[in-house]
Amino acid sequence: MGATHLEVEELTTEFATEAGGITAIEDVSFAVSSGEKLGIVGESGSGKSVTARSILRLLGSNGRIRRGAVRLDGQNLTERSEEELTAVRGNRIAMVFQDPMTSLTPVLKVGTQIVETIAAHQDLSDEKTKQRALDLLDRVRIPNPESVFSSYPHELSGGQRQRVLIAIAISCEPDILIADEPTTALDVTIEAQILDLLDELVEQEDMGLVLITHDLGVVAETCENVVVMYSGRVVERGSVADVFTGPHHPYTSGLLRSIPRISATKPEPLDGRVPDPTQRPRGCNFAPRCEHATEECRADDPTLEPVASTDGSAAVACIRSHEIAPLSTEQPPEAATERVQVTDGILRGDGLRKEFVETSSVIDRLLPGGSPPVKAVDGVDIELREGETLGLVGESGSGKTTLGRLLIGLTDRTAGEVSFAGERLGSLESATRSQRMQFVFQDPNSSLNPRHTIGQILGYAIEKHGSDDRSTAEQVAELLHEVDLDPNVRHSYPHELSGGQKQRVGVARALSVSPDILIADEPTSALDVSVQAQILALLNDLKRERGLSVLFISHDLSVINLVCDRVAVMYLGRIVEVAPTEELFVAPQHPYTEALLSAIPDPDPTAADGERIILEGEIPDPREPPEGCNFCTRCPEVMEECYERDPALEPTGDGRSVACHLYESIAEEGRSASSPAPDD
Amino acid sequence: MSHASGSESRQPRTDASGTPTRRSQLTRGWRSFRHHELAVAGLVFISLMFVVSVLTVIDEHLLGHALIEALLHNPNDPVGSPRESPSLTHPMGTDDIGRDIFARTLFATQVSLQVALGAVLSATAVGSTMGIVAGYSGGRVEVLIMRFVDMLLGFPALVLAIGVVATLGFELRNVIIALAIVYTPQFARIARSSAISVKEEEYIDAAKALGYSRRHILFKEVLPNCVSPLLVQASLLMALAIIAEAALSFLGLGVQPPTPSWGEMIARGTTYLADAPWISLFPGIAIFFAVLSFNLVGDGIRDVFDPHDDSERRF
Repeated sequence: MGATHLEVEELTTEFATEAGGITAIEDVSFAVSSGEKLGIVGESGSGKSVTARSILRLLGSNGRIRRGAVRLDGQNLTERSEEELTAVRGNRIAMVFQDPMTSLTPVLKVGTQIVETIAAHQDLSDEKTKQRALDLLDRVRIPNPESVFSSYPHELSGGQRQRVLIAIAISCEPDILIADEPTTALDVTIEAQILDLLDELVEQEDMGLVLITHDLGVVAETCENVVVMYSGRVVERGSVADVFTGPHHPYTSGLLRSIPRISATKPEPLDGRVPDPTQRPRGCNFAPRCEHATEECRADDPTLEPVASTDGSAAVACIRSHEIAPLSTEQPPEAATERVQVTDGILRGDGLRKEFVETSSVIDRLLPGGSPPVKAVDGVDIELREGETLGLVGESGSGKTTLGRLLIGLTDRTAGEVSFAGERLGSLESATRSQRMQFVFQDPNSSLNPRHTIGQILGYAIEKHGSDDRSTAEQVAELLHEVDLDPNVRHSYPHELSGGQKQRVGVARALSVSPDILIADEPTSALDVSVQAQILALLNDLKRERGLSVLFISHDLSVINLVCDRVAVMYLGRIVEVAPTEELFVAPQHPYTEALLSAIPDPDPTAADGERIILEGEIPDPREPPEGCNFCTRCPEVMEECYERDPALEPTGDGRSVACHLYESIAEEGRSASSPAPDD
Repeated sequence: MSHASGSESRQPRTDASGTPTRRSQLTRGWRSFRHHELAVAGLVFISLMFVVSVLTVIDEHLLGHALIEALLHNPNDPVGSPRESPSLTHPMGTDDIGRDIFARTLFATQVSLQVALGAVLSATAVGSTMGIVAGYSGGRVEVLIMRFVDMLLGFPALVLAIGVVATLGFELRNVIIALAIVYTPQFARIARSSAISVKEEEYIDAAKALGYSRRHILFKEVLPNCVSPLLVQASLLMALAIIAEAALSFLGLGVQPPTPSWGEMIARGTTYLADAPWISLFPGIAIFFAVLSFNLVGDGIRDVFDPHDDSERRF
């Protein structure tokens, strides 16, 4: 390990708001050396992004550093003038931001933007600058640097844009690279590629990496050391191996226990939520949510004290840590779920197709050619059985959300048939349909009308479908109680609630009509880790109590593992594999499923970091899917015939089906032995 | 329920005093509006105009000018010699036939407000409905409605208004109708663009999934979320409507004498601008402050709704 490069000491940053001054981060201290990979984890509102921005003083006009120091090789950056800092930014400390969609200027070509950065810090001839830019694109493993160089940002995929941003960040060979949630907006297979790239760059360039993320798995996979933040303070720091296996702070332990994992364990929801910065409690900020809290904890802010560890770097801000530590990270084993009785399908989709036509102007229709339709869902058969939770998993662009919307009739089908309990969807009256099938939306900020109170939102639904004699107000209160909300919430507007509370209202609204089927489209992807566990537990309880059949759409396999009985994996508009959850996770059949499973970052650092399958390339353009199998462009096991023939979804026994030529012989054997799989 | 997730959710948000916050968005908006001193000043002036209007209407129709005669003079009768300069008896002087200009300016307020309110309210109602239906429905309906709106926009506003008044007759009601027609397209366009963005929100999908009627979705879900830009536009158009009414009256196409109106009063004074400028000056000042007030209030409302305002504090 090289000399220490960056040291942050008791950094305290405050912002002026209408409600007065807010201390966003307080007494944050850590250090990172060249060649070291440091993770900063925390839920939203913990101050991790503010910490990153404070280092480079990118705080906007209403933020300032109140005290503390940021030392780069001993020089205190907080005392530097704005001009002196400009020389440091990008040159010695570079930053990669979260959203690759908005971090590049849409009106300039990618090449121009890279060249500008190089020109700002280095004095090279035009020719050399361009060569350097192309080299950089190659360094970040962009397949065809020349064409990307002359592309506009909107012509690139999210993963490619993030690579370009990393290229810009490393263009001046910084000593420290700060990456703020660099993979949050990306799919899991692309995330694996980007993390792999960062890993390699740090090693080759001997940079220090500060990786900010909410995802404990990403930290465990990538970093050596970790800083855990909560409500503006560092609560624990140390090596990943120490912190993730024997945390000293109850928050770290609670967080580790609350995340869904691939293993067959049940996460324990961490109660409560991060306090609003204006309403931080006296004493330890975590005390209100802490099971170990005593009166003493509520008296003063605990300071970060060193604790015994393997490398002597660990520290924790908990006055009781010597009594309670090390804490457990173990999750209780999953209660053996009674296998759902195999019943008839309650909701079936046969040969479903949805094509989106991009333009329909007169000229486009008259002229031949034009852009081909986007095949969002391309011939899917799916069956949701009564009382089960069927997981629908896939990356963005796989068509899973569209499929969910087709099933409930929110989107018109191009072809195919949906039947509900044996009746065709078209023949059902819309009132019946909406009473029996409901949808839980992804983004609780957008799914509740901001101009209605919670009471109105639920009241409209109850009045529309109510068959009950009881008053609407009574039923609203009951629904709120059922989703664990205070009945007084009915007077609030959505913006007054937290994300988790809003999603509870979303669930309550779906339940207001007493549906048989719930289609949940990524209901937890917009929420924090600890809140996600709460919502998942709620959904599980409701499903059991009300006997719902649930279609659970998610990109997150660990969440799917937790809530689903069966899983259908989608890729580019097709279902490639269907299997009972346990079988799928133990022995995936389709190469894509296998790659997806291996790409999930595992928060357990002791887990065998075995052969991670990192898929090459990206999901193809759904306008022009490849000939033959849709996965053939990325499949590690690709064979000659994959380019020629499209594999069909065939049963392979044990209630599983897979669409892959590798398994066709098995499927045929099954057929010739005339013992068709029991339930497919 | 068995699992323990209540601690987050069972506590409703409380403010510093510990009482549950039930601030509606209206009160929140008002708090933010209050910071704009000029907008509040505008609101005060507009309220004053309303009070004056209500009093003059009551006085004219129920009391037969008893109130104004007790305080000042009858606005429609010559009460002094022609073109008297401002004095204690006639604070704004008298006009060419000796009527008190202060009294007439006060009585003209209600004409301006009536026209502006009537025109803008009907234009808002018709235009917003058209725009929301067009934006939400899309397709053929949208094309039909919006091309009609484009057609209306093609006419020069004042010429269209003159044409309508000339055809229907010189009556206050017709002035209102004319201006309402002129302003309808503005609301239609704004409502349409808001509706187009609102209809992509997930709560509209949620409403569809719940099987709500189209009517419910349009007026209960979409409309409330399009209100803010419409409100801003309405207050700005109020200002324009006051000017337009003055212009029509100036041309003799507005209310007919002896009912006073600001535009008509200015027109009367033009002949005597050199020796009796007050005849035109005071109604002009009234128009100026009325228009300014509505503009300031419009700006204030826009700042309340616009998240990019610079009310953010700085160090």
